[in-house]
Amino acid sequence: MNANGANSNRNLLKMKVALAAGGLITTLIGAGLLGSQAEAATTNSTTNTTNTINTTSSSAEITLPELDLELEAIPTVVAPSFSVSSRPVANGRSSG
Amino acid sequence: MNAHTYPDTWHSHTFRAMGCQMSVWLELKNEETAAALLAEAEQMFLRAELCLSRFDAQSELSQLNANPGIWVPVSEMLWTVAVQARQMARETNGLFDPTLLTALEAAGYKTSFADLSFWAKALDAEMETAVPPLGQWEAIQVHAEGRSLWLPEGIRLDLGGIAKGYVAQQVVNLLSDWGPCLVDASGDLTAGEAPTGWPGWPVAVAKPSANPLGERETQFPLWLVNGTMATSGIDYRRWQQNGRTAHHLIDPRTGQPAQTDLLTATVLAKTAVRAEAWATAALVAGKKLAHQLLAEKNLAAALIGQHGELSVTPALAPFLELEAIH
Repeated sequence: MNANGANSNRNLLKMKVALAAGGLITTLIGAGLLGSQAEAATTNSTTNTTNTINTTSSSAEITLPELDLELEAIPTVVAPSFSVSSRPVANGRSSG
Repeated sequence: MNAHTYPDTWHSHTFRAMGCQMSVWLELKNEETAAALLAEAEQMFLRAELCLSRFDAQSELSQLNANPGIWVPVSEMLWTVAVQARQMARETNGLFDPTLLTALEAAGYKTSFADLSFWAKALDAEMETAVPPLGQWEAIQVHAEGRSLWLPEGIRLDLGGIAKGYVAQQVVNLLSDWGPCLVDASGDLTAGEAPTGWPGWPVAVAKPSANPLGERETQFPLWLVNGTMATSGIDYRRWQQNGRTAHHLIDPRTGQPAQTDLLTATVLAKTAVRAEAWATAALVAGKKLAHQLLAEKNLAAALIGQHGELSVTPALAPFLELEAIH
């Protein structure tokens, strides 16, 4: 093995150590974050379970699938009507 | 204009689902494609029934109702309908309330109207008084991250008409990619774009009738386009319970079948869920309060009283002024 090869191996070893250390740190940070989230989730869950009146969602960032009432419009048009003696396609009626 | 004079590019399919008769219309030149799409529309209703029926103990809704006090992860369909039902309860100040199932059952409505044994059970039913406190819709909790719902003890959901409206809207959303369409969910009508060359879908508000199987007289005709016309009514499906007339629309303020001066309430709205909720709320509210609330929301509506008298909201009036052509 020549000098270049030795340097190359040392660099490779350094890189492996750095990656391993980085991975360990990432793992530790990740675990910490997960722990925080788990704790937060537990807190939320506890809050939600005990507060039966005011809770809506533990996550304000997630949009609930509510209707957009601002887009309201009247779903009919002004036009000469068809004859009332003729048959409509469908009758609006109570279905019980 | 009779049924047989409709353009031959208008295809329709009628079937039963969610305890009701459904009809779906689609304008499309290709007959085979239309047939396939209409068949898929039927399947959408049948799948929704498996999820949202309160009469099926195995439905997802029944499973949720059977598990109060814990967080229950739910499907996107049940999640969306429940969230929107809660939103509508808030908008109607609780006049529409999806948590009245126990009160509804106490009034005798325990099985589907389609179940012939319903009538015998209703007539024989004894008054039950174990109705929980009312206005419990605020206690429904939703957890967006886990798409979970939480119901308190004693509260069960009945999504009834609002579920039907949600599915009708989904069907219209699907079919609208192919052509103009209309869903008639047993009298609640949801339309997409107007058919080619027409101002809208030719529909009508029917006069109240005590005979659901008989031919309906027309109260007034209307063009329906890109929205829903939903009707709630107590003109039929009434029964006697302990000497009192009962029906399926519970007043959240009393927990009893609504004592209302209206026979039917028809509301037009952009979305089916909102039209359904407000039709129920208007009927429960009675004529005076209904007119006030509907006007505040600028909703187009027609209310028919116990003696057949018609009144419409200011938002609807301009659409009814033109003379009919013959």
